[in-house]
Amino acid sequence: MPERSGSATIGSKLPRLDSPAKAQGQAVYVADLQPQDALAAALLRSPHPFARIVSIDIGDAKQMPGVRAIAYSGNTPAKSLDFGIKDQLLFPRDLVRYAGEPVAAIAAETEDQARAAATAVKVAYEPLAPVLSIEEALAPGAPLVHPDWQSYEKGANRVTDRNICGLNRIRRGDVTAALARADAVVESSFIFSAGAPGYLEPRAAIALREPDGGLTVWCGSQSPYGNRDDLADFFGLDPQRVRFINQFVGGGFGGKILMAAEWYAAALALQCDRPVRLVFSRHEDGLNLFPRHGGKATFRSGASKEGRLLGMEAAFFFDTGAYVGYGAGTALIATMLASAPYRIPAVDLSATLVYTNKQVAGSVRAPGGPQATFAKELHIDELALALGMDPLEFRLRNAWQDGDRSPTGQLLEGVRVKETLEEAARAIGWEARRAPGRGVGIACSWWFSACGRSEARVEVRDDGSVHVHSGNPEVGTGSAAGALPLIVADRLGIDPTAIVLTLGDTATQTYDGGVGGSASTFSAGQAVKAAAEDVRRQLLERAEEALEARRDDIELREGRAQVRGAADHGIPIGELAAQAGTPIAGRGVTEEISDPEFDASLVQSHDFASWLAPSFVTSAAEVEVDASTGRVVVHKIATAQDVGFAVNPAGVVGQIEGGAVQALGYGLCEELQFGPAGIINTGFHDYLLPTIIDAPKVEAIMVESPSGAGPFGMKGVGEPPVTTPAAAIGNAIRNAAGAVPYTVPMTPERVWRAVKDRRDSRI
Amino acid sequence: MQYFEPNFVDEALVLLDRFGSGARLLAGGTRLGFALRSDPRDVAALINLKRIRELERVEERDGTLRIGALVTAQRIATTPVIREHAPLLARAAGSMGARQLRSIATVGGNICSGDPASDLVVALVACGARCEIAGVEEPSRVLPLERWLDERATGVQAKELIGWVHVPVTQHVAAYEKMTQRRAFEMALVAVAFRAQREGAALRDVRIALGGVGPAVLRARGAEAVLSGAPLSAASAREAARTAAERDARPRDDARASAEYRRHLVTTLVERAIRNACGDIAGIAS
Ligand SMILES: Cc1cc2nc3c(=O)[nH]c(=O)nc-3n(C[C@H](O)[C@H](O)[C@H](O)COP(=O)(O)OP(=O)(O)OC[C@H]3O[C@@H](n4cnc5c(N)ncnc54)[C@H](O)[C@@H]3O)c2cc1C
Repeated sequence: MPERSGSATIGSKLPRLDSPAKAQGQAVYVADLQPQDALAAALLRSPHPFARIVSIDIGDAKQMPGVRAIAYSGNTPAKSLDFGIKDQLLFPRDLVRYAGEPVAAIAAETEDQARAAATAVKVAYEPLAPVLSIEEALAPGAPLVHPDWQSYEKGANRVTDRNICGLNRIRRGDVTAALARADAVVESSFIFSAGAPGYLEPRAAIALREPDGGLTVWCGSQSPYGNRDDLADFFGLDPQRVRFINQFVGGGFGGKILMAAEWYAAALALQCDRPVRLVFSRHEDGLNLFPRHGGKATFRSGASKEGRLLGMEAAFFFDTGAYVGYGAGTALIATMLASAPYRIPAVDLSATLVYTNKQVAGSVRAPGGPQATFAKELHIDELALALGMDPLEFRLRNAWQDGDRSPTGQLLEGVRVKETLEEAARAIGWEARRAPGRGVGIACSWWFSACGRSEARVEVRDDGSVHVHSGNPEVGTGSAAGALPLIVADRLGIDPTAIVLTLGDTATQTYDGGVGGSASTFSAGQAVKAAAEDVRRQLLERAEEALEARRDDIELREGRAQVRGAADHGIPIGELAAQAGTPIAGRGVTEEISDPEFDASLVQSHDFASWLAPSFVTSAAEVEVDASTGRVVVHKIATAQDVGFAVNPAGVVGQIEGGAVQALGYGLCEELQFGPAGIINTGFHDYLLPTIIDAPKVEAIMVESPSGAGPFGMKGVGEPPVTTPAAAIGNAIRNAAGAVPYTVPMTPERVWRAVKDRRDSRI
Repeated sequence: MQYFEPNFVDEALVLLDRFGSGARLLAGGTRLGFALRSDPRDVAALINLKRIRELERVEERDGTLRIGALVTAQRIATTPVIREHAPLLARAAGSMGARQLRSIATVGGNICSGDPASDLVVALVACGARCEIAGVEEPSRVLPLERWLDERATGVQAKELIGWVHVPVTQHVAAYEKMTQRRAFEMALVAVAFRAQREGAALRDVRIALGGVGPAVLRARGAEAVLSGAPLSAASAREAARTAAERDARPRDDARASAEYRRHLVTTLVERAIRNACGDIAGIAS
């Protein structure tokens, strides 16, 4: 329970502050906003995965009843969006590259009128043979998703080659020689299905052109400041006159970093003088989502009979869809994970990003993490089994230790691989004897913390209220709903539940890089801490005078400044603000921290080759497999995670539990399916997220090894716990049933087939 | 679109007559919602049945269990007379969706959804259920559920509604088995209902229904023939399961599963159902 009476300190458990509003239906999401004079918007989307646009005629649509604006390639800027490779326009001009790609947007008096007008926009298409898989994309003579790829502007380190839009590699030592010396060498190939971010709230936006030429956008974004800058830049507006106001966000999981509805509402609003409201249905949201990358990988590794890893080759291919978007991170992270956290003298790790005619894959929670960890950890188990070694023992024998170097030469300190392995194994009962059909598996990995620029403002007003402005939105990370208020409460000696938060409203001028890379508390937490400490200093200064006491004798507690040990000799902090005649305010700024040193000679075209404040994580799973149907029931997942320092343990446990269930979905049932006409399962009736009945018991174990970089020594905690559980489940399935599919999700049919194939091959 | 809430079956029939093919009956709406969303255009009238009290009754009379079309899955799963006389149906109802769905989904809606794996249909077909139909042309007729499903499948959308389902009450053994990819809120990949009368070790009047392996719920007549009238043994159970999978089932590949896997599931689930229902017969229990 929180210490509701008065102050709370960091490290105490604070339940999410936004839960009551959400549970009582009081939380206001974008779609809840219905400005009276708002126009309704609808999109016209391409029905073809790949087609040439012969012509677009909006003549008839313009004449339709109620129509007030139409935005399309003919009346919006022709410049490219910039995601490292300039391969994408806001509205396509010559080619549509995925089924569902928006071709035009219409604003009308009513939604029905907007939809009717959308169907009246005449687009003449010439359908082309689509590229729907990595194999098709890389086949000799394959159709080019971007026939003009050679002419695209691109950043340094970006590799393009026909349907390839990214390629990075980490190489150390001589793998061929190492494998030749090995006593056991195994090779394994894996397939990853694409997945949906799985947030509940479909995307929506409202945009309004302001009389001064500016624009106001109501959104539910992970990155309102970044979105504002992108939008202002694209339409040539002054960013200071563009205001993004974030509402409650019904989950993001990386799927709401880039704009979707915001773009189209804004494009239309710039043509009218009324608010334009665009709300996606679940189906449309499914067509417009940024999926987790599907792909494939091949691993080949060898070890000595004493169980020492000697060499590893890994090659990943990721299907990034029609445009590069934020897809590059997945490939960069995959090579960083491929051989970690193990000492391997010789490695050759590569990842290739491939264009296809599908939705633009993005940065879903821990991009690349579940995929790469699934492959490497099932591969590592296969090697352990080939050596006749216990998989836990094999991992412990090869795990990184303090002072080791990462594959790219980064010096590793505070390494906690061994502790997380031992803790997770203990929690699952690794040594216990189990009934037939039951099994256990384990998987470990590492992850990064990220620190982007973040600004915060903390203010004590004369009524005693404490206001916090941060640019970091609350999308479910629990940062703003828990950790940030806890930090302020800790510094000011106040009740965290009494803090008034304003998040992600760019009018507050508190910039933040947004939710991503497990950076929220790490970045915004430092800014909030600095701002609160500034206020604290000012309060103590004023209290010194008011109480005629020495500053060292004054403490801030329960909303008051008081002389230590003399509770009646004090003054409410609001009173101090009243005496000042102005709110007592402080600002805090976190500067971006650059990544640590590494050995550049070991990498090729790699932008993310060393990791700030790395953390270590292990999951263990216990499962029951019905081999004759392939049904898998996960009884328990134990995740031991190095969190540095748990600012709000309740929040950390929430992230670990949520990560376990989300990873269970990734591992067992979630799969975006594509037919010739695009995504088949856009809704949650057919896209199978795990239900609460599928959720296993989750044991969250926090290992705390303070980082030098994060506030209070913390590390990023949001992403690591979704990376390891699917792999642990896979290894547990093999332990229980003697076989496991090397394809995620491991559906019952795939498990049944894997077991059957193994039986058949024995006969 | 117009909206109606008739209080009596007759009122509903008048509306059906008036609006013809533009009329849609609404029960729990858990299935109709999808249809309306994807194609609401040719719907002229929505006729909500919820006020028709008589369609909510459950009663046992003269060896027949009569269940009103508006009875929800949750009530079927929990009502004592149903649990006593048609445990197979109660079990199938309890396996549907999850509590939220069960509380609104009705048996009439389940039957009329036209899904090849509707749990209640699979169970009712195995129970030898009949349905009582109220219609504009013919005020009331009672016919086997299977026949009525056939009629509907052939496309004649008569101006009718299901009033009640009748389940014969007899001594029997039964079991229900189904397979899904996650543990709630999903239609079965394959569902199997088994029901038979026991005479010592011999089975009579065996009825096996299969869901998810054809265009509609199917009877596994081949498997039924293997078991009927003969003493049950582990070998005959296996033989029946194989027959059900290889001869009776007509699965196809689709986005959710391959035909091969569905066929395999039929084998496994039919054998399991027989074992669960007749586990006391020597050599049958696993
Ligand atoms: C999330 C989810 C999970 C589901 N899981 C399952 C499951 O596990 N098992 C399963 O079997 N089904 C499942 N379903 C499918 C379906 O909702 C159920 O089969 C349900 O029983 C339909 O009943 P209803 O009362 O909601 O029907 P409605 O949606 O109201 O109606 C369905 C159809 O039947 C017609 N109709 C309704 N009542 C009558 C009547 N008395 N006479 C004539 N026609 C009538 C309607 O006009 C409509 O065409 C699921 C659905 C959802 C949304």
